[in-house]
Amino acid sequence: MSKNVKKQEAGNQGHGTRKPSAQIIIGLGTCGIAAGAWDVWTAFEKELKKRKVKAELKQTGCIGLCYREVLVDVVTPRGKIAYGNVTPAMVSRIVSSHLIADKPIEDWIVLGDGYETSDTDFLARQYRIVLRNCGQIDPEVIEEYLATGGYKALEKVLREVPPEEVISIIKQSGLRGRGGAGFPTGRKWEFTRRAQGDKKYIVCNADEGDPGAFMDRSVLEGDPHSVLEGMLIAGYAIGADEGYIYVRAEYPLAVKRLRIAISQAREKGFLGKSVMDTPFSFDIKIKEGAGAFVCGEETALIASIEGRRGMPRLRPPYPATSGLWGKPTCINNVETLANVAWIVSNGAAEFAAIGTEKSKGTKIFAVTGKVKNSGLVEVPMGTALREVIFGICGGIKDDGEFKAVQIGGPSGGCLPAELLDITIDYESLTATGAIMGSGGMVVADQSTCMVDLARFFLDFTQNESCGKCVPCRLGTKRMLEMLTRITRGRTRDDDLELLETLARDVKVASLCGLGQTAPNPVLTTLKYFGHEYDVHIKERRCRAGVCTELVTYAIKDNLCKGCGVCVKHCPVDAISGARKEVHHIDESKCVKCGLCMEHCPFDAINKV
Amino acid sequence: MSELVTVKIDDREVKVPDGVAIIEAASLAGIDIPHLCYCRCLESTGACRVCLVEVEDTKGLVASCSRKVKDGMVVYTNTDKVKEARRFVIELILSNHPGDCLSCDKNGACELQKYAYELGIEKTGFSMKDPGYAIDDSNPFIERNYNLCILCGRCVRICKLKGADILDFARRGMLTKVTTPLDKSLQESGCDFCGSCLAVCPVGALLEIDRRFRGREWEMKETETTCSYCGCGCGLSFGTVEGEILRATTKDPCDYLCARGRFGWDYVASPERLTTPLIKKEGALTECSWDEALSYAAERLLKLKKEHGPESIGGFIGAGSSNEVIYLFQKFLRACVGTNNVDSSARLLGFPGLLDFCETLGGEAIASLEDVEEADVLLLVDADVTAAYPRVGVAVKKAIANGAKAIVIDPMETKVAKLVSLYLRPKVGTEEFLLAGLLKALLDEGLFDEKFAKTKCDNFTELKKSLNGFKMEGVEKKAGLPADTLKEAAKLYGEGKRPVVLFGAERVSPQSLKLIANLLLLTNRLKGSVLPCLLLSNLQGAVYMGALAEFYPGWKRATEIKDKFKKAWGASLPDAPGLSAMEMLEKAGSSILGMYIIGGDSVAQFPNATDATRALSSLDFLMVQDIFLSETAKLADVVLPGLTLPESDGNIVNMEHRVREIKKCVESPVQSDWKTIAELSKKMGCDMDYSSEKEIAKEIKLLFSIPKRVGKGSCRFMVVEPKRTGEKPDSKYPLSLVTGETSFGFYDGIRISHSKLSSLEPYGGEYVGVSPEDASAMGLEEGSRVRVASRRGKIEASVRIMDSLPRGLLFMPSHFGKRNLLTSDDIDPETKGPRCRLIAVSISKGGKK
Ligand SMILES: Cc1cc2nc3c(=O)[nH]c(=O)nc-3n(C[C@H](O)[C@H](O)[C@H](O)COP(=O)(O)O)c2cc1C
Ligand code: SF4
Ligand code: SF4
Ligand code: SF4
Ligand code: FES
Repeated sequence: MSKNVKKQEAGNQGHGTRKPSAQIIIGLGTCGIAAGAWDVWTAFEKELKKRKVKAELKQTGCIGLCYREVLVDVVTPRGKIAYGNVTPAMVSRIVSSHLIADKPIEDWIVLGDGYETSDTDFLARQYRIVLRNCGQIDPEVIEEYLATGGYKALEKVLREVPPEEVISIIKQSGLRGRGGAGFPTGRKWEFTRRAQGDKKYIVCNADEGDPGAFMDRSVLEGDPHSVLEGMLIAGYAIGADEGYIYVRAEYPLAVKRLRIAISQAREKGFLGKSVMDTPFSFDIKIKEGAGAFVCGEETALIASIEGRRGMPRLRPPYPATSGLWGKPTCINNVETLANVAWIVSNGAAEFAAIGTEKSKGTKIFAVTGKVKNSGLVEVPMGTALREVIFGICGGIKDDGEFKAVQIGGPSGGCLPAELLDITIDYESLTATGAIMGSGGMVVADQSTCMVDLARFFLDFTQNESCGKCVPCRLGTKRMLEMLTRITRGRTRDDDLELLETLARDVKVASLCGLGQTAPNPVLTTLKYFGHEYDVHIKERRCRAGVCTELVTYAIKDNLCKGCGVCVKHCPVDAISGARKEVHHIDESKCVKCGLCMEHCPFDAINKV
Repeated sequence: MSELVTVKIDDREVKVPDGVAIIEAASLAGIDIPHLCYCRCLESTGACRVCLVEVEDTKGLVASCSRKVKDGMVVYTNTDKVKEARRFVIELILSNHPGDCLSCDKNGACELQKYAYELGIEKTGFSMKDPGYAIDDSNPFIERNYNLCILCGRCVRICKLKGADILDFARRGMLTKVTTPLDKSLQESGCDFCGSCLAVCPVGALLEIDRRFRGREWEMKETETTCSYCGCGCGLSFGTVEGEILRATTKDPCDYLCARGRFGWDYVASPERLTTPLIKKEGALTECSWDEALSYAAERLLKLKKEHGPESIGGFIGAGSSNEVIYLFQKFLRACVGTNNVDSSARLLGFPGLLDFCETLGGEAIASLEDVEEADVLLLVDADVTAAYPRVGVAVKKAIANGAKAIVIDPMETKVAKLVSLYLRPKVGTEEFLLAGLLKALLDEGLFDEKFAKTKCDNFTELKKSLNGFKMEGVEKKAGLPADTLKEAAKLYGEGKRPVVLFGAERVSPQSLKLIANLLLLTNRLKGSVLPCLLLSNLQGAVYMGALAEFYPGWKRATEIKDKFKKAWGASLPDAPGLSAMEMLEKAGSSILGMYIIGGDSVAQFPNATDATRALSSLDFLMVQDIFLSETAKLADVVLPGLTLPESDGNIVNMEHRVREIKKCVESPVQSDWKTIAELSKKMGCDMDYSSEKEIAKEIKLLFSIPKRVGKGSCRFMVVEPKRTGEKPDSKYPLSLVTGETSFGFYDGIRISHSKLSSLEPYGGEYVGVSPEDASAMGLEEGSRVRVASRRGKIEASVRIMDSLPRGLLFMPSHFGKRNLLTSDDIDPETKGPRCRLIAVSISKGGKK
């Protein structure tokens, strides 16, 4: 790891940590655990005991540096220092050198007051509102949330601000839904408040079904109380006394932390009858979803909470007038709700000062794929795509060349290098044919085949279609069949034309957002990478070398030494050639396994 | 809703009620928007996307089945964009459809085919595929071929609304499929076999097994007629090819038929039908000609009349005959034979008490099925609506789905009891206490119309007095229901805005009927507020036609109206009051010597069958006219073949007092029942000459009009002292047994036993239902054989453990023919019918499998 030691003033580190004795804080989010955080935890436990070192072993959520997990913060009087990619083998040295000898191990430092590393930019160039506490506090200890000013916003509205005014604060802030559609949150609250009904509900949508997206999970795991506080404020504003959190069953840790948070909030009197001794009562139930992508769609989600099959229904009526059990219901995304307390505490104007004219505040992206630093990135609206991919995430892995970025998951679109300078906001993204979506961002380099990428997302959506409406159920399947044909070189002449018409028809004719957006990856790749489709169809070739059936292996005459290694490895005897003479591959026999290329000692074989 | 808005559809301006969907507005404007998942009677789901239209100032296309109209809306249903989308959707559906149209029974009636044709789709841009599902024909009636299914979801929705709610979608994407829970067979899933799903399926995915490959839609002759099972009298249409019924359906797929109506017609073509008259010669029934049979019968009847007087002869007719036949039958007995001894199954099924009931409340009180559907509170007393009169059951379910509160009083936890707000389960035989308690609670809580009761009704003071002495604790002790629960029920019913009371006429006791009348009077609910549920299709008609000994046609007491009929019929009419069916049997062999029975069976219909059969055997002369050779027919001197309603023309009157037409849909070699009666009368020297049933109908019309809801409304409270009903159990017969209806059985079982329907009944209906508690106390297992004995007889049956039963109560389906060997012929002095269906029995292990 590269290191650049330089003394600097503290950044926005150190929230919510209490000084006196030493603390070891391990990132125990799902990503950390997957990287082996529990083993690291056990190793610390043993090591501290063995060495009789007095230090508090604590947990926190994900800070977003997923490429550096397992992350371990060591807090000593000299400040907080984070080590990355920690393994149990490194533990004993951290204890002896850093804790006992007070000598931080510079090579392993990822972040630290006064240290500049290749990762410094990753956090420094972000703007963290929603992720303000993630990776900073112990999510299972309500006091830590309180210490950051938690539940102050709730107290303020309950004591000082009438519900209508809360709504106007949210309206003024310009907050828009982060679940995908970007509907103004204040207006949604207003509709629900005004709707007729003896009972109303708040529902937090934590279904997060986009493959590759994990923003909501990190917030729930790292800072569950911020979501509860947001729900409470929303409940107060719209006149609801009950809330549901619909969370994927595949998020057991999030569910566990939510349960802990809810019971702690109840104990403190923030949930239940007479919240904070005011006339406002509110309670929250958790409903674990069955894991279907379509259950994130609000009407399907309602059906699922009601115990019915998670199938979308037509809107109108919107949930704001007729939602859960027919009652007015406000459905908001996790990230949307996690903004609320911050807005109330810091004021609508402060929030509105961030972002563009129509898109305010920040947005979190889960950046994955071929970038150097993958992880969670929260940036102000209006930030350029280039800044996120190159500035924050450090550009393309292995110094490859950027090819495309898929924004908005399976409902989103694929953007080419020419569009790297557009800014991230609802309007400019929509103008490109992509969408903001919930925040998935998959970066592709030259080794990615765009047709195959479109096929991947379509395969996902057609499997996840609820099956109710014809265009989505059958249309996506037919599109998939065409894409598959294209990637296999079995194209029919009119396929491209048909594919585009089909994609447009599915968009206009489908019932819900799933079908209406499912063609986006296809349409955008057609628009920006049309030539790749052409090459697949006309030349029957895949330049990225991904579509196996379109690839041919060829031996370069000038490099082949006639060693015969390839002949030995070819399982179908497709290679021939006399010793010490240039060899040949018989294309009609070749099954494109690529073993010859892998084994050629002179790199004389390549894919074309 | 009724407010009108103006919308413009394809440049046609129309005024339509506010709130209707665009597709409905278009249909009012005479424009048919193509649709597949939409169905008028079902909630729209917008699934198929065939009905997309363009709406001015609205982005994208709009599903017209789901979007409601707004004033000033401008809609285009046929633009290029719309057509492209529609074509696209139909092509997509076809791409997943096997295209076996050549041998599909729906060919010509398939809605998918229709649109493909209209859009001129010759070949789809996609290849056609067969999903490859196995065809399910593991039940006798409904074939499910999901390869043809277009997933419109109509079946799912209608099954929820009218059926057993067993269908739903499963899985996702291309694998989406309609299934039952855990993909079990229909029988195992508790299917009602109402066939509602089949009626609404737009394609050939759901088909009647019986019609497969026997006739395409356009080859079928449709005859619209009325179902001949229960008193609902649902309209249905028989589809026939070459004189054979292939299926029954409704003209409007949204109209309901139950399993009996839709599938229970196969008895008509049973090879066991009687087709030739029989005469008993040397102790054996022998085939003979119609003329021989009728001449012989006339001779014997004339002889009896001459030697013993007309009062020695009696007649009984089942209420499964048409008005015309029943009218002629009673006319034959009264005017030709000269006796008032003419009675019908109305006597056996609780009818006589209803007459007083209607007279007290006035005819307006009778509710229609629409009243039930629109009610906000329903009170069901001893009415197993879903089993006995399923169309009423659907109305009740609809009302509940629309938010009505319902109260059920029934010792058996019926299917509706599971859906209602308040289920009151009285101890066996204590309904009268409960009803009296309800009355008292209404009085105590002031939930009644005091002014009306005081000034417009008789006997209010007496009623109050009698209730004053009535203690709520008594109800708790006798019926087992606390005063608070009764108060809650009284509050629910008392505060209803449009409440309807329903009761099973064949189940409530005569006293309960009076209590219900008091309840309606007390609350001044005398318009569309009560529906006496009637078991047989023409019970109401039988009474209108004069088939109860005390009544002449027009529901008039013989004493009031005799002179009018004397003139009309040109005959002298008897003065002596007629005997009821029960009395005739009692006097058989002594003062009753000859009987003419149409559609009646001593074993299957009459309580205490042993005595009833003995009585009939002791007659000098017995003539039976029926569709099958019943146990009673076997005893007869003359047996005449009868006609079924699907083979007849005529009319019936349903429980709502609505006249329904019966039309002949298949020819029969058997002559019409009315003709048989008329010929017999001629042979007896009477002038009863008709050319058709129309002529009889005309004569009826001249005499009185139906519906004329009977009863002026005497508004007289009846003081009733509640009693425990039924035979009292004792140490020898410690349990109570009630007989009742089941979904696939019916009444006497005569038709059902010749239909495939009976195969759906557990143990072929020959079972005794036992509560789980009793079963485990007695060590009985499901399916084990037992002997059930009463003071009158003993039969064997299989044990069926039924959760719906309380401890101490057994159940037998009424179509279990032998059950009448147990039942009691104890006569109620007022109604002269059987006193109660509740009898004391014992049960013991044993008997052959
Ligand atoms: C197919 C589909 C999947 C969706 N999945 C999610 C999801 O996982 N999480 C989410 O918050 N919103 C999801 N949405 C959006 C929701 O329907 C809804 O708009 C959102 O929860 C509203 O919250 P917001 O206004 O705070 O964004 C999905 C929509 C569609 C059409
Ligand atoms: S668009 Fe797809 S997911 Fe949405 S309703 Fe239609 S089939 Fe279901
Ligand atoms: S026959 Fe009736 S109950 Fe059975 S599946 Fe069809 S609709 Fe449902
Ligand atoms: S079986 Fe028929 S009614 Fe049911 S979903 Fe399929 S096509 Fe529609
Ligand atoms: S008829 Fe409207 S979507 Fe099917």
